[in-house]
Amino acid sequence: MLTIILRAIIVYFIVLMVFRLMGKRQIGQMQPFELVLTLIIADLATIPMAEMSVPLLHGIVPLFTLVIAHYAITIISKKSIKFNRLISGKPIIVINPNGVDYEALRELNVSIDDIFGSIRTQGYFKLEQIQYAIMETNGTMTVMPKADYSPVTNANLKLKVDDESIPITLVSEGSLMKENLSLAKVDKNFIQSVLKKAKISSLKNCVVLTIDSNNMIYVQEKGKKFQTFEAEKC
Amino acid sequence: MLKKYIYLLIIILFLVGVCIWEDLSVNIYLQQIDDAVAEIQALVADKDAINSYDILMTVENLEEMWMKNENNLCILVNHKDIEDIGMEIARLKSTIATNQIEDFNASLSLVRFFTETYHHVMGTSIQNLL
Repeated sequence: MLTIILRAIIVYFIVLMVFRLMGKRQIGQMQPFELVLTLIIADLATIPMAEMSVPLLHGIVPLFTLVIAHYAITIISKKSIKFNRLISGKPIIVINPNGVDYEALRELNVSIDDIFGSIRTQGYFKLEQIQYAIMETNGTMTVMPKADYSPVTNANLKLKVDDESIPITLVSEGSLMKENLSLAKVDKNFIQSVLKKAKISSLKNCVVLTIDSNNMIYVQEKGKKFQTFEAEKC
Repeated sequence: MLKKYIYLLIIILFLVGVCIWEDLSVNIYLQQIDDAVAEIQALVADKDAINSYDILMTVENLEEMWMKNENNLCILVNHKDIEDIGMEIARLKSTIATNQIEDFNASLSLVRFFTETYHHVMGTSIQNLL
């Protein structure tokens, strides 16, 4: 039994490494060849894990071979559009200004109900709201609404708004994010002063502390409501 | 990106290494067993009885060699594929004890048959690919 435990740990780390090498795409974002690869990897990994008569190498070698095949396909796909179309297909317009393209639906083997489901996830409930809907190669639907139904933006209203940056996390679950201190151009003394201002006794009690480009602090103590205030940098 | 290519290069080298290692070691180990069995076959060819000390020692040497080689082979091949060889080698000793010369020869032939068969099974061929 100990052997099975050790084998499971080894296979787990190898599969983890394989997925890290493959990239960080989610299942819904995968190209067909990536999905196939994921399914095969899952199956391959379980064989040497539980089957004692199968050497571990019989699981590792195909796993690594698939990584190489995956990279070969990715590299060739980047170089050749034709190969990319062959492997991943091409985006297909399923709704155009004339309405639903039934031939495209038949080609994709999707139903009108699937189209309704996809446009609903994008926040549209009527087909007449859609100018174009495109079925992407990874199976997701991209929707472009008609001008009357598209959300109003600051640009439409000719409003001048400053760009905002992403808030930087300085404390996460009681741990100081040291690498983010230099990004935010602050130091440990700044963190202490913010905690003092927020009346948080110690770093360990801080759930989260972030700072944005306007020096706005978002801080929350364990079991308490969050606070926001403008910080003064030294 | 460069780091990723280095990992890929390591994986390719690992795969090539495993292929060469498997090919060489399986050939060497199975050939050793095949040669040892051929030697025993030559030894008993002109004998009426097999329950002698020299044959027993030769078979024991064969068994010892197999156990050593099996440990190494198990890293590379499915254990079930080679267990028949071990079973026939183990049977040789019991046939010596009861002086069953036909069974002894049959087991020797089977060991050679299994080693040759495994050579075919593990080699790269159209039959194995399909």
